[in-house]
Amino acid sequence: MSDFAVILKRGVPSYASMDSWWRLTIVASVLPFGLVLVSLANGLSSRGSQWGVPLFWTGMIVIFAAAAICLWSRQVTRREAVGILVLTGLALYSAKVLHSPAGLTGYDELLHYGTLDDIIATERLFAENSLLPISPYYPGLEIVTAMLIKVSGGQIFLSALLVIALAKVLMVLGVFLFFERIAEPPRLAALGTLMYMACPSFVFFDSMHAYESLALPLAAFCLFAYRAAQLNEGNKRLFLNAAGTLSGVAAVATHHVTSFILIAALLLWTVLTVVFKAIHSERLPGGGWGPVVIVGAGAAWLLTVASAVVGYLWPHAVSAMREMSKILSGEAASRRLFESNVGISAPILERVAGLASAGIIAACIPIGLWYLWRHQRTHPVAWVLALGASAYPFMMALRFTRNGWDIGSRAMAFIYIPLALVLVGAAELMRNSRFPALKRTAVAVPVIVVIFVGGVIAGSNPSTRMPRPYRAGSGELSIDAETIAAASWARTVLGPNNRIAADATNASILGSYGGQRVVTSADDVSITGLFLSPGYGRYQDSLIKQGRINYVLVDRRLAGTLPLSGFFYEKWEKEIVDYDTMLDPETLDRFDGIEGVSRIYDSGNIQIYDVSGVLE
Amino acid sequence: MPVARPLTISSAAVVVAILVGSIVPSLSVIRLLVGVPLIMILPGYALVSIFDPQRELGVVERFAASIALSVFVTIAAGMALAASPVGISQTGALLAVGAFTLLANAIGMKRQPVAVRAPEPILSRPLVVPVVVAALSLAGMLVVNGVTIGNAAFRPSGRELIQLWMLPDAQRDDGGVRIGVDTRITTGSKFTLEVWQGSEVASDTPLTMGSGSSMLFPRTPLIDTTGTAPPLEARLNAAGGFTRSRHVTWWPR
Repeated sequence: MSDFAVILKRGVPSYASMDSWWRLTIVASVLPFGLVLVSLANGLSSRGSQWGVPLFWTGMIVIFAAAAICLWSRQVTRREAVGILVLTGLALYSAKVLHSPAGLTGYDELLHYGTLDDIIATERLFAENSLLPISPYYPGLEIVTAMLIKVSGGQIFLSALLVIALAKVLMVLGVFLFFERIAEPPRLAALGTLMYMACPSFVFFDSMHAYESLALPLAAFCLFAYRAAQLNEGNKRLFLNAAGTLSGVAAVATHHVTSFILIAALLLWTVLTVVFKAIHSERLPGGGWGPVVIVGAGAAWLLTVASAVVGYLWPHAVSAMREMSKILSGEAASRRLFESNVGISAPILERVAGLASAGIIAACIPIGLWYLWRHQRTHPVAWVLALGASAYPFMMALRFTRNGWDIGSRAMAFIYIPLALVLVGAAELMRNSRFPALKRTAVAVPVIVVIFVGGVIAGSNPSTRMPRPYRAGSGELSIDAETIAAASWARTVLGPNNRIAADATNASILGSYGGQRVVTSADDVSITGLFLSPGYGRYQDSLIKQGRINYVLVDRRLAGTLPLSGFFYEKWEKEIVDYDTMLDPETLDRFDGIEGVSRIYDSGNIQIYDVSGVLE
Repeated sequence: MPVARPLTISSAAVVVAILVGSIVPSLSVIRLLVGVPLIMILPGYALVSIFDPQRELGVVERFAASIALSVFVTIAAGMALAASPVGISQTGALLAVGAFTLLANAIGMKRQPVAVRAPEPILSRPLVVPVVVAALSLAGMLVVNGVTIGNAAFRPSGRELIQLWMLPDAQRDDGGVRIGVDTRITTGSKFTLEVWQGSEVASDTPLTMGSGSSMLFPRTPLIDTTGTAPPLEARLNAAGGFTRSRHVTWWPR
């Protein structure tokens, strides 16, 4: 009898029946030890020590390997598995929290900070966010955080951490419960969920207080609820359909890409179910009405609220496809893997682990697909998952393009849901092999750990994985006390929503902690021209008038260093202004001594100028 | 165990959350502790109790559904509040989510059959050991983290943070300015604040600034307010250990 039939008959998945807890106790003891190592690594790294890197990886491997060893066992009980997965998910989330334990500093977090800040201040939705104009149209995460802040009176940072922590728990449970209703046998769900945690975005990107971090768990729960509704678990088809639909609708109001992918997956699932019903004589559980409601909600939201999302996403996709076709036709060179925008290469061990991880996954996909074919080919949802997992090589190929790298990286959060299940199918074949149990474990656990390490490497930048000493023009590394003090001063003394221009890092801080209306290229103003074109004259005056800029912020530390992010002000600045190797300090002095331009703030490295005299 | 006990506890928690939210000062940990379940668990749990009164779904499934449905309820409530004259205010948030949860709990209690099977124990005795071990270990980890890192972004990195600023005094119509000096780290440093316009010195003030001290000079008049006047300049010079001065200017308008 297939496990699918077992669930239908008994409603309870097959697990080891004894009530054992010792594995969970071991994991609960080991995880904090791993986190202590990560914490020590962060402390060393923030002081510039090279010892932080090995200590960080030791801590992360301890966390993941402990869970992998326990979940590899056939004897693990369901409760143990759930406990181990939730603890491991939270421990990996803690690794991100330990990176910045006193404030939100992730780039995407800063982009969303403005939307949250506006909701708290105005108590209304859809206020303008110049840093991420699409963010106010998908306010689900910010509404939840703002409601918590209003109810608890807590700070933004602490409330944001708690919301994402619960989102992580939902993600782990959603993936586990979904896998449990598909995997053959269901106990593979635990290992599959752990494999999902090896996803490049799980540890850092989807732990940020940004919209995908909440939408993805809602989508995972939606998939579980629909699957459970198909199986009519507990005779609760109506409730499970409704629960899945409501969480899907919540995802629609939270994140664009997640909702689009969820809708696409549900449509494919529904179509395949109809086709399979026509082909196969055996009775298959049908799809519910829920997907129709989610598609309707998605279309309504897109047409009435978030129509701007098309203009936001489309150019990224088009430029990635164009670059990919140029690379394939030999007209353009591909992006060098494991190399930053300014040519800094990742350490050799990280490159080896990254390639090994991708290689293992690529090798396991056909095996896992074969396992899926053998055990679940009559299930439409298994076909949806097989198609999703097959997209992995294509998304990896996008990482060779400069424009598509971002899409390839972001897509992994979605691809890994089917991919994890396919990988675990391959793992099950190994577990069923005739090798002694100890040897199987000795091979399998390191392989799983390598996949995890490769995932973390692929999903995070070496320069931002751990706190590092200050470095100008380098995103998160360029945020220090002086940067935040300038933004706080602007909020307190100048007041919020002044039109201000600055370099990319300071702009993100001014738009978030500073509460300012940052002027960007979206305002049809060349920020590069304002700060980097030669001298100061009519051209700069015209830019100030064009952007109705009241203030500009200059960070003197930009001179004398190379930006790790590849730019100081705008991505395309190197195409306009060739500052060769480093910025000339005199370039940054341009606003001094200009009649009508007052230097109103000075903290040593950072100066803010009032340029509103130019507008008069 | 009485069958309706979880819903009674849930209702009591909502009432406590509303009371605490209304009475306890803003930054209380208690408010956060009751606020998280009120926003992210209890509304969904109430819905689950209405539609699964006999607990036919498993504990894990019900818990996951509680979080997911709570998120939906909170988002829906937030949108409704934002569109209403109330807005997403403290009172609005407390009442909207609290009232919904209490109402749903009441319906859930009414739907609860007399002979319902006992809920699965979530915290059975063997689980206490790993929970205690994890809690103690996490506490140790937090101590280590606090000692070793803090947060680089929110911690001055080696230099002292001293801010000097100058802005027009909106209260005056004679073109006067306000000058502010803020220090974050400096302990007992001595400074001199010079203010002049063109070649004329308006003031020369010695200052002793402590850690985190802030000074405001609200009435520094312009010497020359004509249209072609040179800017008013202020320079903060420090004595010893701090070599770089701060310098701000203001052009009369």
